[in-house]
Amino acid sequence: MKKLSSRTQFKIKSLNQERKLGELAKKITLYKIDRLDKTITSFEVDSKYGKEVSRFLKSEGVEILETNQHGLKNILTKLMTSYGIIVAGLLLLVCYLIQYNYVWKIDIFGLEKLNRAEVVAFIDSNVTNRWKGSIDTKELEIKMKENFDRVSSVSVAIVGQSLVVSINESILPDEMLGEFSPIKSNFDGKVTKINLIQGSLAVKVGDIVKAGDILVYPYIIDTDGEKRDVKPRADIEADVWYEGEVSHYESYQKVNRTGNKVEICEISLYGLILYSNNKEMKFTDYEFEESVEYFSKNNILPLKISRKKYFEIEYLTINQNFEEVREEKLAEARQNALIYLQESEIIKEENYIIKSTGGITTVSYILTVQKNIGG
Amino acid sequence: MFNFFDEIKKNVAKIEPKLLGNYNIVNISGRILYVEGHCGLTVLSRENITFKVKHGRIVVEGKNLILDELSENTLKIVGEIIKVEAF
Repeated sequence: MKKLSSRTQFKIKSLNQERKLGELAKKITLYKIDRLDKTITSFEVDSKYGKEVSRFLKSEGVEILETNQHGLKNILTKLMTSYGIIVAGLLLLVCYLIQYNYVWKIDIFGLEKLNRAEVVAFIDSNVTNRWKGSIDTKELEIKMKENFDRVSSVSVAIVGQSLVVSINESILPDEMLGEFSPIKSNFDGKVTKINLIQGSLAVKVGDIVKAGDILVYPYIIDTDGEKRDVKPRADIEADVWYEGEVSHYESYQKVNRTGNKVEICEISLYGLILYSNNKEMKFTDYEFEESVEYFSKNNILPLKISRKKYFEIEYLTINQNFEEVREEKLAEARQNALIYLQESEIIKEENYIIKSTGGITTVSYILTVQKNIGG
Repeated sequence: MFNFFDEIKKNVAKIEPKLLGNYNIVNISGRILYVEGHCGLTVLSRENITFKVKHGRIVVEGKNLILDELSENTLKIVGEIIKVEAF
C-alpha cells in the first residue's frame, strides 16, 4: 500500500529547520525527514498537500532545492498527461480496429481426397477483397458446392480474422468415379487357381505370368454385347518361385594381411605440419586406413592429428574343387532364396540347378510357394 | 476502545495519574522509537534528534537516525538508537 500511495519529496535549504518543520507538522504529517547536511534536509508529504507545503516553505523563506513525485498514482498521472503516449495509444487502437476488419488467414478443415492447394486457390480467386464486410460466405458455400463434385456440404464462417471453411467430402462408389484399374500380378509365377468375381480374365490356369502382367481387365461384356466398365475382383493363386544364387570359382586370389604395419602420425595446424614421427613405409602391396581428429573439442586452436596406417598384404591363390564345397554352396544358395520367403508361406517344392562354365560354377536354388498374386 | 498506554497506567496505582499524562515513548528493539505527546522539534541530525515535551526535553542519540514520521503530536524515529534521555 505504501508504494501505491503518492508522496512528494522536498529537499530544502535553510537555517533553523527544526522550528519550521515543527510548525509544518502541526498542519500536515511529514515522513522520512532526513538531515542531509547542516542546512539541507529532505522530507516527504502526501502529494495532495504538495502545493500547500510549497506555499508554506516559501512564506517562511525556505529555499526549495528539489521536489520529486513518488508512487503509482504519480506514475499513472504522468502517463495520463503524456500526450505522446495517448496519441500513440489512440493510433494503435485505430490501427487495430482497421486491421480487425480484414481476414488474414484461411483455415480449411475436413479435406481428405480433395487437393488443399486447389481449394485454397479457388477460395483466393473468389475472395479477392479481404474486407470482412465484402465477403459473402453463403455465396462462397454455393460456389464451392458447384465447383467441387466431392464436396457434400460446406460451411464458411468468419471467426476473428480467419475465414474458416469446413468441408464434408462425399463418399462416391468407384463405379460413379469411373476410375478402374486392372488387376495386375505382383509376382512372377504359374497360375494354379482362379476365382473370378467381376471383370474379364486375361489369363488361364497354367499360364506363366510375370510381375506387372494384367490378370483381370476392368470391364465386362454384357448380354447385349456392350463393354461396361466395372471394378475387377478376383482371387488368383499361382506357384511363385523364389530363387537364391551363389557362384563358386575353381581358382581365385585371396588378399591376406601379413601382420606388418606402419603407422605415420602427424600434427598440423591449418595444413602446416608441426610434428611427424617420420616413419617410412616400404611395403609394395598394402591396405591403407586414415583417421583425422581435432586435438580439442572447442576449436580454439584447430590442431589436427592424423594417423595413417599401412597394412602389408599378400595375394594367395586358392584352388578348390566344387565337389569339395558342394553341400556348403547348396545351403548358401538355399539361404539366399529363403530371404524372399514371407511369414505364413509354405514351401511347396524345392529344386536346384548347377551350371559350370569356364571354371565358374553357379548354383541356383528355387523355392516354389503357392500364393495369391492379385485381386 | 482499548488503549495500550492507558492499560499500563491503570495497573500502576502508586503514581499520581496527573504525572503520567505528559508523553509516551516506546522503544522497539533499539531500531524504532515511537513518541506520543511531543511539543516540537529542537534538534535534527543523523546522530541526535531532540524534541520538547511537556515540562521537559527528550534527547535521542544514535546512528543514521531518520525522523520517519512527524505529526502534530506524534513522531517516529528509525535508525540505530543508542540512548534516550529525558531532561
